Amino acid sequence: MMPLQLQIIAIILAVGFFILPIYLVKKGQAEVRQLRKWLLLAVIILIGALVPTLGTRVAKLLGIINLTSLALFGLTGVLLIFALNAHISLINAENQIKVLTQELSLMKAELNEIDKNEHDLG
Amino acid sequence: MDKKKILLIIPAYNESEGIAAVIKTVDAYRESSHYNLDYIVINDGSSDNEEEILLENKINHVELVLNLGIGGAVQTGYIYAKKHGYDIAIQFDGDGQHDIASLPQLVDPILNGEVDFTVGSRFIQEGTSDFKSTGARQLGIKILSQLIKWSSKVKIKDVTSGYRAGNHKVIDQFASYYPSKYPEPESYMHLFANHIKVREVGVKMFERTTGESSINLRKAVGYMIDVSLSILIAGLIKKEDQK
Repeated sequence: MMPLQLQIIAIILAVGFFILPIYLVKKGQAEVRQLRKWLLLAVIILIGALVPTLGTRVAKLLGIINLTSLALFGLTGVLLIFALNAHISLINAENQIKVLTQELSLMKAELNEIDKNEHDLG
Repeated sequence: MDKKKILLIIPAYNESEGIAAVIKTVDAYRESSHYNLDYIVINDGSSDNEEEILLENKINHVELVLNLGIGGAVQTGYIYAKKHGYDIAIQFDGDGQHDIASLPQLVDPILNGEVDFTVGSRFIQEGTSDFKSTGARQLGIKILSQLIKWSSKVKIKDVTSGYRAGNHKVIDQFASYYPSKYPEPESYMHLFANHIKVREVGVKMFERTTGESSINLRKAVGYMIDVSLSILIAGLIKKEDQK
C-alpha cells in the first residue's frame, strides 16, 4: 500500500509539473516539445498516486519491496537521466557559444581592418 | 624562393600593463630577423583597458567579444592562421615570459622539415632558461610528463610550456579542435593520435613581471585532476583509433 501522505505529495508534485510547463508556454518562455518529458513524468506520478495497486504490482514484478521504494528508485533514475541530458545540452551550447564568439570576433577584426584601409585611402 | 609565412599567436588576458612592451620586442625582432614573421594578439575579452592599449598602439589584434579562456583564445589564433594561409604558427605568451630570441630553435626544425611541432622547453639540457618555475609546479609538470609517457611512450619534459610552434598540419588540426581549459598537456595526446612529429627544444623563459597567472594554488588540485584525466582519456581514445 502507498501511504496517504505520499499519495498527496505525489499528486501535488504531478499538478505542479503540469502547471509549470503550461505557465512557461503561455508566457512564451518555452515550447511544449522542450517540456514534454516533465509532462510525461507528471502523468506517470499521477497514475502512480491515483492507482497505487498498479504501482505495487510493478514493484513486485521488479523485486522491489513496496511502491514507495519503487517511486524513490524510479524518480532518482529519471532525474539522473534528466541531469545528464541537461549537462550534455549545456556542453553543446558552450561549444556553440565558443565557435560563435570566435567567428564574430574574427569578422569584427576583419571589418575594422577594412574600415581602417578605407580611411587610409580616403 | 618564397619565404614561409609565420604567425605569432599572442593570447593576452588583462595584460594592459605589459602587452605594448611585449609587442615592442616582437617588432624589434621582426625587423632584425630574416623570417617572414607576423603576429596577432588575441585579446581574450579582457576586463581591463587592454583593448584601449592595443588600439592606441595600433597593435594587430582580434578582440574576443567574450572571455573564452586560454584554449579558446589560442584556437582563435590558429583559425586566423588557417584563414590567412600561414605555414607556421607559434604560440607566444602576452605576459612577456617567452624570449623572442629563442624563436629560431622552435621554427628552424619545422622549416627544415625535420618535425611538425616543436615545444619550447625549460627543462632539457640545451635549454638556456634560468627561470624554471616553483618547486610545486615542477613536481606537477613531472607527474603530467610521466602520465603522457605512460599513455603515449613519448617523453615531453616541459608539458605545460605555452611556447610552441606547428606547421600547417598542426594549424589545421588545432583550428578544428583545441582543448578549452589547460590545453597544453592534453593537446599532445591529440597530436600523437594524428602522427604529428614532435620535438622538444631548449628555449629561454622569464618570470612574469606583469599580469596574473591563470593557475593559482587554489586551482592547482583541480588542474592536476582535470589534466591527468584528460591525458588518460585522450590516450584511451588514441588506442581505440589505432585498432
